[in-house]
Amino acid sequence: MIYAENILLCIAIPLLVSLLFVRGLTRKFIGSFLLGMIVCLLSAYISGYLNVVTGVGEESTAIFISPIVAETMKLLPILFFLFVLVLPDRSLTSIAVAVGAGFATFENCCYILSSGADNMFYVIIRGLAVGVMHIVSTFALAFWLVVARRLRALTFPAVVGALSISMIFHALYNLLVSGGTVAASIGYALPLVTAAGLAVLYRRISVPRSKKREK
Amino acid sequence: MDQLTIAMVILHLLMMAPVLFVAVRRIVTGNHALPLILFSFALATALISNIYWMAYDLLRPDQRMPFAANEIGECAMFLLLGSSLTTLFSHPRPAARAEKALAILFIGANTAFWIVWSGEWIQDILTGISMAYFFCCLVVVIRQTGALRGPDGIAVGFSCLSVVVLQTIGFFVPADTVAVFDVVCFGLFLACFSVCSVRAVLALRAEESGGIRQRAVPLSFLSLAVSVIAMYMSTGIYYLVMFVLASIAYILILVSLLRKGVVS
Repeated sequence: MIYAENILLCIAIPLLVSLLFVRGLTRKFIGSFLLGMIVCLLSAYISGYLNVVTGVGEESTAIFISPIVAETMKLLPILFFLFVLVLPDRSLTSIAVAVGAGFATFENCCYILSSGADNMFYVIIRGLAVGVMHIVSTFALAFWLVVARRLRALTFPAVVGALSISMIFHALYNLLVSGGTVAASIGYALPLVTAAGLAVLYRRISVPRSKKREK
Repeated sequence: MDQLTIAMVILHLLMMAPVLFVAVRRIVTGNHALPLILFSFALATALISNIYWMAYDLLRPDQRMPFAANEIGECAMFLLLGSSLTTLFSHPRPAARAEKALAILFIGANTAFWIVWSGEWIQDILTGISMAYFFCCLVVVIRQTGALRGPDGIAVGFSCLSVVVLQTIGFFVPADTVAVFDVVCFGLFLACFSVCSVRAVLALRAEESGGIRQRAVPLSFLSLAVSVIAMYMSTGIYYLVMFVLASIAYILILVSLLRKGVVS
């Protein structure tokens, strides 16, 4: 058993203090990174609760329920930044990446503390797979929303569509990794391949620079 | 998952991927029409849902899928298709209360069947609600454009009613009779799909020559709706046939949306 709240405090305090000395996009990034870690903790609480209530078992919860909970929780801060603070496109995608990175970092910390970090190869694989997967799923979510906003298609169905894409991507990763060697290898490669594809797409088609200067 | 199923699913994915590519390319090259954008979003969710479903069936062939993310993808797909339809035609829209009530009754009956067959409440109710929204949007547009008048409309309505009646009777008769009912229902849906898709193609050709306007889009959406409902009601080879027909419906929708020259 690990004390996730204590780990969160230990990682969050230096980051919180650093917020006093930085400004602009760096401050937004660190703040969102912290938010991502908090979202990760809350997602773990909700997934654990649903595991007990539904009785489907820990493995099924991790494969089928966790992606739904995690992506919904990651969507909430992005929706707040999108609709309440009405951030420009580039800020929104940067913040989404920070939320994903914070989520992945905290999840990896907890995982390593509970399972050990003696196998360096496995730790690197985990960092490249889970770490990138959370960033990719959150970035894809924000990218879809930004594109929808630019095309004036930001409706409730479009938000549900974005959410479902990130959920299925996360769930597909979990499903593949839980399979045999071949499936797991495909699963581990999936986030990196998708990240490369999304990076190309991001540069080629869209999200033109906002005229508003970043603060 | 047998080889035929894998082949059919791959065929479906191979048919849908170019459709999505063409739609996205048209959007990127400047066609910022809202219906096309929402349809592309729907197509993307459908595609990734099907990839997840295929991966699940390959990895866990003997285990029925629990409530998973792809169910939410399917709900999103229906909501996006409904939105795409509502943004297609300008106001004033007819209220079409009777048609909407019938559509909701039809989807309600189908949802009840899914729950009885699978025992899964949450996903079936969620899918039923989103599908009811799609069907309500569809009947309004059909009424507005007059796309399904006369014998065709009566035939489609009668087929839907017959399917609901047959499936309800199916709960009280022996399994052999149910199998016959299933074949009849499949035949009725296949006939509906054929009528709608052929009418959609004819409407497209008529639109080209300046004849009947705006009927191809609702008819192609109706083809998709019929194939999806039939898919959810079928198993085995019947399911796979409808699965492939659904991809044809997606192609029809894209062609009709592009031909209509929808503008934002």
